[in-house]
Amino acid sequence: MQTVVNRIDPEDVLDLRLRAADGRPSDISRARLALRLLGEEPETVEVGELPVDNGRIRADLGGIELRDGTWEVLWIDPDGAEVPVRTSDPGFSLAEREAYIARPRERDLRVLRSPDGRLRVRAAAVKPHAEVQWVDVEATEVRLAGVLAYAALGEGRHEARLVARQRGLSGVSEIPTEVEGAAFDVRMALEPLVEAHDFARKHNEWDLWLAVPALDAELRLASHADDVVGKKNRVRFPRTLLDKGERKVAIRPYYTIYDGLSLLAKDGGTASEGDR
Amino acid sequence: MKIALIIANGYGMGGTIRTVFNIAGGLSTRHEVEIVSLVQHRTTPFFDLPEGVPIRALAPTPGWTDRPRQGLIDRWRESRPCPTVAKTEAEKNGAFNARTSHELRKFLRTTDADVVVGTRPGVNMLLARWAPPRLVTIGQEHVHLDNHKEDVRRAIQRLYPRLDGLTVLTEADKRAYEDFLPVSPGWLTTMPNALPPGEYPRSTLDNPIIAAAGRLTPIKQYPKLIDAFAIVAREHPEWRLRIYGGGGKESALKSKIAKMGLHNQVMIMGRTKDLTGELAKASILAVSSKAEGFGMTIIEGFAVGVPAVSFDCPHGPREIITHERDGLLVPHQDVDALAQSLLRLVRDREERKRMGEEALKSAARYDLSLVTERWESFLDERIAAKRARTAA
Repeated sequence: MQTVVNRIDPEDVLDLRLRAADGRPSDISRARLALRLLGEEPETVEVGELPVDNGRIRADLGGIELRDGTWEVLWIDPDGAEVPVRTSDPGFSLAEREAYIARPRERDLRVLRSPDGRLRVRAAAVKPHAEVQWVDVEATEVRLAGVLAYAALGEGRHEARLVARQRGLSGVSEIPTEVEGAAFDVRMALEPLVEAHDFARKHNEWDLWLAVPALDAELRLASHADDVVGKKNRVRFPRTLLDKGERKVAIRPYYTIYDGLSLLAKDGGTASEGDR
Repeated sequence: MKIALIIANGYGMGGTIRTVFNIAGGLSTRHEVEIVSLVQHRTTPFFDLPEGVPIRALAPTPGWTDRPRQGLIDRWRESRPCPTVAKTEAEKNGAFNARTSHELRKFLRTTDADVVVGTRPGVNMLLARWAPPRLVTIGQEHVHLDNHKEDVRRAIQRLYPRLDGLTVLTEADKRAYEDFLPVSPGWLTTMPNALPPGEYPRSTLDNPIIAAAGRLTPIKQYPKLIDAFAIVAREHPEWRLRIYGGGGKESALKSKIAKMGLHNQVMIMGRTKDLTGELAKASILAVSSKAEGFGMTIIEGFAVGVPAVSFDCPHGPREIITHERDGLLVPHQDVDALAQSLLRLVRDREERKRMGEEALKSAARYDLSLVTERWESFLDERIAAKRARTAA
C-alpha cells in the first residue's frame, strides 16, 4: 500500500491518503495498521482497524503509548501479513510543524520518509521549551524571538524573564520581558555578561532560559521544530566585540550539540587587536 | 552481449562512479555486464553494486592499509608512470601507473567481452592504445573538452580517433568534440546520465524553502546565490535557503551569511545521503554555477517535482531546463535577474505547481530504461559499423 499524503495533525492523528499499487485511488473500505519500533528491541503496536473514507485513513495515535524511537508504519493484510506502508510524501511541512508545537504535549510525533520510501513515525518525549525563530546580533545586545513550544499557556500577556546562566560559574543575568500569546521577543543587553567575564577561562558559555512564572517553569531556548538536527555545524551567528577595560570580549550566539541556544564569550584581544 | 565498464576506481564515492554503476544496472537487465576497476583501496565499493553486476579490481592501491603483500615487480611497476596516459590526467587521478596499465592490457587480451567502455580520459586513452581489434571500444567523457588541460587535449586528439565510439553528456560537448576530432557519422553521441531507478518522493511545493546542491567549491558560486537570496529575503523573510554540500568553502560561506545578517534564513546543510528526499522538502531548486558539466541536481529536483531557477551557464542547464516550462533560465552571472526569477516563483504558488508538473514530465526523459535503450542502440550500431569496416 502506498500513501501520497501523510501527516500528523495537531491532534496526533496520522492522516493518510492512500493509493493502490497500480496508482489508482484506493477502493478499500477498512484497514488495519500497526507500528513497529526499529532498532535493537523491536516491538509492534497495533493501531487497530480503521474505516477508509474515499482513500483516506485517520489513525488517532494520541491514546497509544509509544516508546521513544522511529516506528515503521505497517499495513496488515486480511491474511495477517504485515507490509510496510510506502509513501511519496516527504512528510515535512514547516507550517504544520509550527502549528504542532503550539499545543501542550509531552510527546512529539512526526512523520518521516526513509530514503527507500517507507513511511515512519518518530516519537520523542518532550518538555516545553522556547523555540528560537529569530536571532539578531547588534553592537551591545542580542535580540531573541520565537514561540513557546509544547507549553500550556493561556491567551494574553504573561510576565517572563530571560535568564542567562554562566556555565560552570555563578554568573546570572536576568531581563524582564513578556510572552504574548505564545510569542516572545526580547532584547538582551550584553553588558552584564561582559562584567562577569572571566578571562582565565578560554570560553565563557552562557545558557539561555525563558522563565515563565505562569508555567512555574524555566524553558530552555532551543531550535527543535523543523527537521534540521545538528544546527551547531550548520549555523554561524555574527559576533560582536565589547570593551572590558583595556581588553575586549567577543560574544557570539551558537547552537549547542543538543540544538540549545547559548552565547559564547571569548577573549576578543586588546582594543587595537580587536579590529582584526 | 557482454560489456565491461572500465573505471579508474570503482571503490570510491565520486559522481562518475555512481552514474557508471547506475547504467551498469540498466544494461545488466539484457546483457552480461562487468565493472572493471583499475585500482582498489577498500574491500567493498562505497556505492552498492547493481544486482547481478560483478566488480573486479586489477590492482590494490599502494596507500591501502589492508592491502595484501605485493610482489617486487608489481611494486616496481606501480612506482613507474604510464606513458600512454597524459601527465596531468595521471596527476589528477591516482589510478594510472605502469602496473595498472600492464594489468589492463592483460585484461584486454584475455577478456571475452564484446564491448569495453572507458569512463574517463585516462582509461579511454589506454583502451584506444591497447585494446585488441576484436574488442569494440567506447570512450565516455563526463567533462567538457574545455576543462581538459592541454596535454590531455593533445592525447585525446591523437588517441580517441582509434576508439570505435565516444559518448558525451551534452549537445554542447558534442559540438566541441565534432570541431576537435575527425568524427565519422554515428561515432559520437550524447548520452545523458540517468536517474537511478526507484520511487521518488514528491514535493508539495508548499514549504518556503529554496534548495541548492553540490560541493561548496568556487564553480558553484554560492556567494552569488546568497546575494540573490538576500533580495528574496527582503521581500519574503519567511523563505529559507538550504545549501546541500560539503567541502571547500564552508567556513567562508558561513562567514558571508553571518556578515549579511542572513543567519536566520540560510543554512549550510552539509552532505546528505538522501538528496532527492531533501529536495522534496523544498519548492524551488536554485543553480548559480559558473558552469555545469551536466546538471544532475536539476534532474533530481525534477524527479521530485521541483522546478529549477538556473543561470544559463555552460553547458548542462539549458539542455535540461525548458525556460518557462519546467524552470527559469536566467542571464548568466546576472545576480539581480536570478533574484527576480526566484521571487517570481516565491510569489506565485500556482506557477510553481504548473512548472513542478512539467518538471516531473521532463525527469522522465532521464529514466534509466530510456537511457539504457539509447546505450543499446548506440552499441549495436557501433558493433555493426566495426563489422562492416573489418569486412571491407
